[in-house]
Amino acid sequence: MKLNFIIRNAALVAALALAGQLQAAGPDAAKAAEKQRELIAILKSGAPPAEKAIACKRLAIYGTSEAVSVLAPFLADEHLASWARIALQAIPDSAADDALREALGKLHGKLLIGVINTLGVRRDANSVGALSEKLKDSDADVASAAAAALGRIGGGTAAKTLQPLLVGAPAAVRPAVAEGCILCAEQSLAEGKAEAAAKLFDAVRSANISKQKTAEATRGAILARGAAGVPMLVEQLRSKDKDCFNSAMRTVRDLPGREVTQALLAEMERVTPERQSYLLLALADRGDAETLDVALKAAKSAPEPQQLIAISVLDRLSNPKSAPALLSIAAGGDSKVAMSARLAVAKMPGAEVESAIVAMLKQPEENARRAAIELIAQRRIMSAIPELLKVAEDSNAAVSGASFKALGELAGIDEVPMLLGALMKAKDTEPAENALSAVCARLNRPVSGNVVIQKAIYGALPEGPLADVTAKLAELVKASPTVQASNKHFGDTAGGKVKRLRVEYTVNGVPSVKTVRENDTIAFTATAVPPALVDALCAPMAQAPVPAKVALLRVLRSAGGPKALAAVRAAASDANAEIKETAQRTLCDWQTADALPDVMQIAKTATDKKFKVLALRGQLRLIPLQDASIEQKFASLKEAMALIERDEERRLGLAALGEIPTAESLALVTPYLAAGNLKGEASIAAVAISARIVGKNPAQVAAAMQQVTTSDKKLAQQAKRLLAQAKGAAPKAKKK
Amino acid sequence: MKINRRDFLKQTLLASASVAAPNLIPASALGRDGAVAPSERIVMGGIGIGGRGGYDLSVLLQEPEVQFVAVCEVKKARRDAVKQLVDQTYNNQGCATFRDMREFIAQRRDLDAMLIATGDRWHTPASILAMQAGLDVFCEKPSAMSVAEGQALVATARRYGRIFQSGIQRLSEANFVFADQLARTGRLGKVHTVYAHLLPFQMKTDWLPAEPEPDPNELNWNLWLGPAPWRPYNRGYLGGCGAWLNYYDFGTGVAGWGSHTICQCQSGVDALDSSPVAYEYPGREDFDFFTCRFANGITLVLNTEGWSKPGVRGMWHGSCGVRYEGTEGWVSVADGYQRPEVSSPALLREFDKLVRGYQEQSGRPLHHIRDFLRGVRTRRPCVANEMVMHRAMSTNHVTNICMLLKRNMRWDPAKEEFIGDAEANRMRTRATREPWHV
Repeated sequence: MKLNFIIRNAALVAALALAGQLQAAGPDAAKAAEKQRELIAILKSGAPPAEKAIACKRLAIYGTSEAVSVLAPFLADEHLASWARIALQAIPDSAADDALREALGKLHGKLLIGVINTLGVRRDANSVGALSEKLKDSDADVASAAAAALGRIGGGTAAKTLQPLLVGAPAAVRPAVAEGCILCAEQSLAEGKAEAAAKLFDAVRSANISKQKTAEATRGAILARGAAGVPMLVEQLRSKDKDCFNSAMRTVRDLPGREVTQALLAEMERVTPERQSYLLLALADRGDAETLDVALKAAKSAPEPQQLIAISVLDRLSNPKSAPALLSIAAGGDSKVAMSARLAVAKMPGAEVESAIVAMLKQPEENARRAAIELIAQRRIMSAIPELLKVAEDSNAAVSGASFKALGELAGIDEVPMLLGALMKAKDTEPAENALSAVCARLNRPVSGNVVIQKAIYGALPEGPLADVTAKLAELVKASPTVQASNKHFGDTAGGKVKRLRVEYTVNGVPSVKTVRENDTIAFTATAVPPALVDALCAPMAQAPVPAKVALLRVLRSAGGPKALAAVRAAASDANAEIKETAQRTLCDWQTADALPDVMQIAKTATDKKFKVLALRGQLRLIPLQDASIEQKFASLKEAMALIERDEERRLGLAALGEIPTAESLALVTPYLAAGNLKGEASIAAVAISARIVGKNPAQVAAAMQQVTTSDKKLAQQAKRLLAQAKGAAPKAKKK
Repeated sequence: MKINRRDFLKQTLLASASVAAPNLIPASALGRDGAVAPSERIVMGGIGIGGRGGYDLSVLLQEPEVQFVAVCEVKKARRDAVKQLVDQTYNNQGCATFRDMREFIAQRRDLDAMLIATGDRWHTPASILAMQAGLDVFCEKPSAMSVAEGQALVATARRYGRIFQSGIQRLSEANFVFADQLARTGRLGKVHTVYAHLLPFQMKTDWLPAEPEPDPNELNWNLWLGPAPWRPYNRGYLGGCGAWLNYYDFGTGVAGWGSHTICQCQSGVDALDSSPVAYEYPGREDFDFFTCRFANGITLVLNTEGWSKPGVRGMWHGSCGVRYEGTEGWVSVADGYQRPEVSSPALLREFDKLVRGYQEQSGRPLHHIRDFLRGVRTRRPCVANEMVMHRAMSTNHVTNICMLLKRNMRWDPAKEEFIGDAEANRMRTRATREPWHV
């Protein structure tokens, strides 16, 4: 049966256009002929069976009529027959059919069945006569294979041969005869001969061979009749037999047409609630417009399982007529049904749907207003922002909070002053603060930053040849943040092979690793919010009441950048204790290394132990991010480690040291390998450092790796490997 | 706290239970204690239950609506182990055992559905035999050895009105569903590149030296080979982690993980009913950074070096990863992640909403086997139904053929044929050993 796969026409046109752009070499006839000669020579030689088997397999690709005569004798070879058929099944030349037909008269048992199967796959119409003879074979397996093969070949002659045997064949062969008839009928249907197909399907049904064959033929009989098959389909749907009903449920998805939908809708009134569920699911899969009314009715008043399914049907239909009913259900709070309804409306097209949602903001019920707010955010109804700002002042905290959340998801720079106004007035500043922070996070955009290339390798990764292009790439990024991985920049480091560029780098201290293929580009960029947004956030700082100012300090952390940092830094010496404390906390939590001097100052001068700890943590987080040499980073970490009093921070310190690949860093970590509470983190750090310095510092690595004790099997294995590597690399004492 | 994938899955399933799709077990089928009456249970058997199948079976045995009654396995040790597990679970001696699936299917007419977790070579023939006998099928991946096998499986499922679920379980896992939803709902902007993680593998064709065949009662080599072309016995094919996988006559090359990750990517770009159209031979033997393109221009990149190792940051730090990149952001996820990695924390804040939304809209549970059981009851095609499986496997097969023939390929997903490459077109089918056929 030829399958009808669904593909959008536009997509197909695009597919073929795109495929046309690809340089596809296609087969090389001369090379194929040469390969065929070599493979035939193997088959003719005294080569062992394994080599001959592979030769057969390759002839499936390169073989022509020349190979057929060499392959054919292997059809009688118990061990190599299946290999020979791999080739003979694939070689398009009719010589392959001739050879297979000839073998029909010489083989028995399984070998014969194999040849019959292959003739069926090849759909060799010339073998119908010979295969018909095999239907009479005393071996039921051979006769069955012949019946199935005739079905695959199809056509009037095959069908006429098979049909009488539905009754006349031995019992063991009749199922295969039915299979053959069904395949013939499907082929007739695909060729537009629906009437002939229906007759053949009916013949199988009436032969009553087995329940499965009858169900299979009934499905075919319905599909062949189209709309006229609906009564037969309904009969199956009403059957008390589970298999009949199951078969019909699949058929209703395959049979197009309004009549089918109408029949299903009518059946909805007759069947049990369980079967109603199944029918609704089938209607959902069909997606017919006529389903709207019955789905609306079930969505409003059916028990919950059917209600949910009905909503999924309305979701698929996506008809704006269902919006009022769905919105009414959507206002039902946090029930499953209400959530499903909201999801359905969120995707429904139409300006009238949007108007209905915005109008819901004025409804008195809390759940209705909250549902409207959620939908406005999901559908991104920007015109509703003024309404949302009004609702943000609602006395109901849940409604107000939901509105601020939606504003955080929708507002742009233009709306920020209004949000700031709401923040200034608010008793509870948290919702407005969260909205402003969300705006900052959303408006982050790529910008150029301070790029440091730590390591760049160009070549046929991973095995090589490879070249270290760190210096060259560092030079290139000074000119442009976007660099192409190409030979023109880095030379042809692996001639004839497709190369890749792997780069470890930081942008404004934030580390990244990227690998791209040859001729692709890498953009070395950071992200930042627009300056206008930072300006807007800083503007009210001087006049803001304390709660709003405290909130704004935290928002500025989300915004980031030099101007925001300066504002927070200034607040860190504010006379108001609450503002000062918040500013110091914000500095300790700052995301980029430019706050490091402030954080170090807090660590040194804070009298409150709590701030000392916060600052130390901030320091340990920011030191690896700074744009500094490895030596400078190590010095800063060493200084910070000396100030640490608790194991919690020591763990962070060890993790940071693990990023510093120097012998000094390993020396600082090594003593902790024996510390009961810290040996886990110390082991991870020591292994990470050792992996990068083992070449230059084998003795120190060996000493450290011998001390690694961990229950992590992978880590232990790596430590063992590094130890072996270090011992191998260490200079051996000369033999005396 | 470290959390492994299985623990995470359990947690996810428990968390999702409260928002799962409505229970469709008929009320009349439930007893007073909520147990499913025996007459309403889905009666199942299993074929080829080893490592992966053992996991599937352990999940099935926890489902109150399932009654597992029989196993068919060519290895006696496994056959006995499955029987012991099932009998212990049900506290009886009822699990029947079979060695030959033809006898199994012919004799057990009480079955509703079959779990098939054999080696790849058996997946399609066993599925077809089961469906022809009127059984619904849960079949492990990769589900077809060739494009033609996939077509035959699709045609059989339709012809017999059967429910088929392929074991591409990440289509039913919250983290992966979330990634798909991010891409499908435009939250990543216009998706331009998707990455699929591959397990490094080989496509060997050599024969191992012949060894004496074991006692057929312990291991029947003829049945083990099944539809694969003949070769002499050697225990090396049976080694740990499916040593046979690396032999092209038993395995499916890239599809070891590609059946999962490529399918996942096709889901992310809403192309479950199609395949990429242009495949670029990378000019070397390994599949790392193998590139193909969908009709709409989206690039699919295969990546065999995805794993993070100590000192080396890879694209993923877990197995079977996918990554979707769009103009507005990216998402990356693999097994063992507590949550997917995303370009902006704001995306992750929508995790619950998007995952719940998927469940509500699709009506599917975040539980791959329960999705199958729902399909068996409702007759609604499963999330990894035969067509989804076939399209994903077609991409895998075309990729294998591209690498085997060492040249660029163009593929017409509508006609299911290579454009301008007769040699490649011959490789869409693989003849099966006698007497098997699909």
